[in-house]
Amino acid sequence: MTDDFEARLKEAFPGSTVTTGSKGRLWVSMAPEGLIAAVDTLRERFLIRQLAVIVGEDLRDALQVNYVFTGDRVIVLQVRIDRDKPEIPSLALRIPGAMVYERELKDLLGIMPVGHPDLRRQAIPEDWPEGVYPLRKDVQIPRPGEETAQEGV
Amino acid sequence: MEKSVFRIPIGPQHPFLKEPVKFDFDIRGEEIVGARMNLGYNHRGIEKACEQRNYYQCMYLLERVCGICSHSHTSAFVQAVEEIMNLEVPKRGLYLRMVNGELERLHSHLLWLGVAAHEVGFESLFMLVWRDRELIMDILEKISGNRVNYAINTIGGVRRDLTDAQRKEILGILKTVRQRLDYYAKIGTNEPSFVGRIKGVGTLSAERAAEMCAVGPFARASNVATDVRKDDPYACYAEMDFQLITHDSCDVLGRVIVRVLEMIESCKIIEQLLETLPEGEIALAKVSRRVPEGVAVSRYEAPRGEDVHFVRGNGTDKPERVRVRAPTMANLEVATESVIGSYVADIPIAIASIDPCYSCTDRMAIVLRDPKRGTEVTTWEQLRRRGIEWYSKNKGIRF
Repeated sequence: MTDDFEARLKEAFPGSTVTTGSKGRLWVSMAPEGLIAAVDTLRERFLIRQLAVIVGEDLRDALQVNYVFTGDRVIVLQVRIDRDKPEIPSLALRIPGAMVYERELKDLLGIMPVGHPDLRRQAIPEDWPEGVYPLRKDVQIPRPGEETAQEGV
Repeated sequence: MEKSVFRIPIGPQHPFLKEPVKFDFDIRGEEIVGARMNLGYNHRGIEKACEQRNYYQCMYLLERVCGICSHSHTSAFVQAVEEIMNLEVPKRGLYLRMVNGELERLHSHLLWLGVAAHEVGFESLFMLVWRDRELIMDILEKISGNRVNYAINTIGGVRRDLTDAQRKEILGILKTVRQRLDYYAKIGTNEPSFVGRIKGVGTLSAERAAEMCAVGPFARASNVATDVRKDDPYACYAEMDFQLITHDSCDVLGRVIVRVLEMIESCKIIEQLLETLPEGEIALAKVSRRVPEGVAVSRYEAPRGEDVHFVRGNGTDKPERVRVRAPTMANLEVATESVIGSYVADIPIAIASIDPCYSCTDRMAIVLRDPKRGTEVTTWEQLRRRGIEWYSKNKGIRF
């Protein structure tokens, strides 16, 4: 059953790499263009419908967005995107539950979910400066009375 | 917006809310026709802070994500780290972790039941429930030394063992707790004033719950059978005999019933755990402080629902990325929506019915300068100096 599932998954996502992690988690890396189609396949053909969380990461040379889907198996879709053009297609219209995670992605990592219906600020305050994304690795946030935030932690 | 519709803003600070969140409710007469929520009033930057601390410091920091489900967050985190490091935790360690986790679920659900009773004005139930919650809190204090942040988890096991006397004492207290829970199960389903107040309030259909990716008792009360302990068992839940509780009434009444019955199941789990507690070590003797490169997704059934931690290690003693998805994050949007169609007076109980925890959900804010007005933020030291100067100049008081 397990191997069969993996084989079916590999067949369904021809252009992407599927790796099996510990605890039977499946990690699928793909290009951003294929994301919407992949999510539809996952939900309709594999009946893995629950989006648990969207995790944005700064890999230093690129940004990566991980979509964790749960159901009979846990499947993580990994999308690598360019730092200069941090855009991903939004899932919010397909999965309303994705709304909050995509807003947070925009606020904390500056990854723009294209096509998201409600892009108000969520995680950062209204007077937060534009273009400062706290979860990016190169960001420096000085604290009062401190030269840099990165030292002395 | 049509003329007969009126918008009431509630929050971010409001007596009915225990923590900061902002709601906008559109009402026509007494009926709610629209609802929106906004978060981010208390974001504390814990995810960023984790990247600058080692794994042991992270564990204690993540324990402070939430004051109620603190054990859930550390458990989810250590599970992820143990998965990356490929550690095999001693069985006694896992059992003790589960005992703590189930006791936490008991006290959290009792707390919620009290809050729910209070929100609908059933104060005597609130007091009874909170009295019984103290029994659980006392057990937790005895076995961990703390009432809130138990600090019992460590990478590779737990930090405190249970003596045989403690084991017997807990089993004794649980007998009392189970009797009381049976009584609450009776009240929750039969007391006419209570049932009348919560029946049909804050309805959420099973389809919508699934579509909005709702989790935990909130989803289970809408007849969505989701529970990480059954779907993707962690620790030793696969060996335990317990039921997944669901209810099909899809309203606040269902959420009360699900939680009360779940507490009874939790008692059963703790009894099984304590009766079959294996002998042996409680933690691995030696664990490396450096975590190899790797990534793990860890799922944990917290009292409020599924808690997801995503951890990426980079070969050093500090994590590359930690992402915490608390259950309220998944539930809040749809809970706000479930209020539509109810009356204004139902708002507090409908929102409280997901057992919201904004401290779990929001995690950062550092404001240094207002970009629009250019004003600096006053530090505590500056404020103090200004106060001293003002009083000595205007009132002649010398400090």
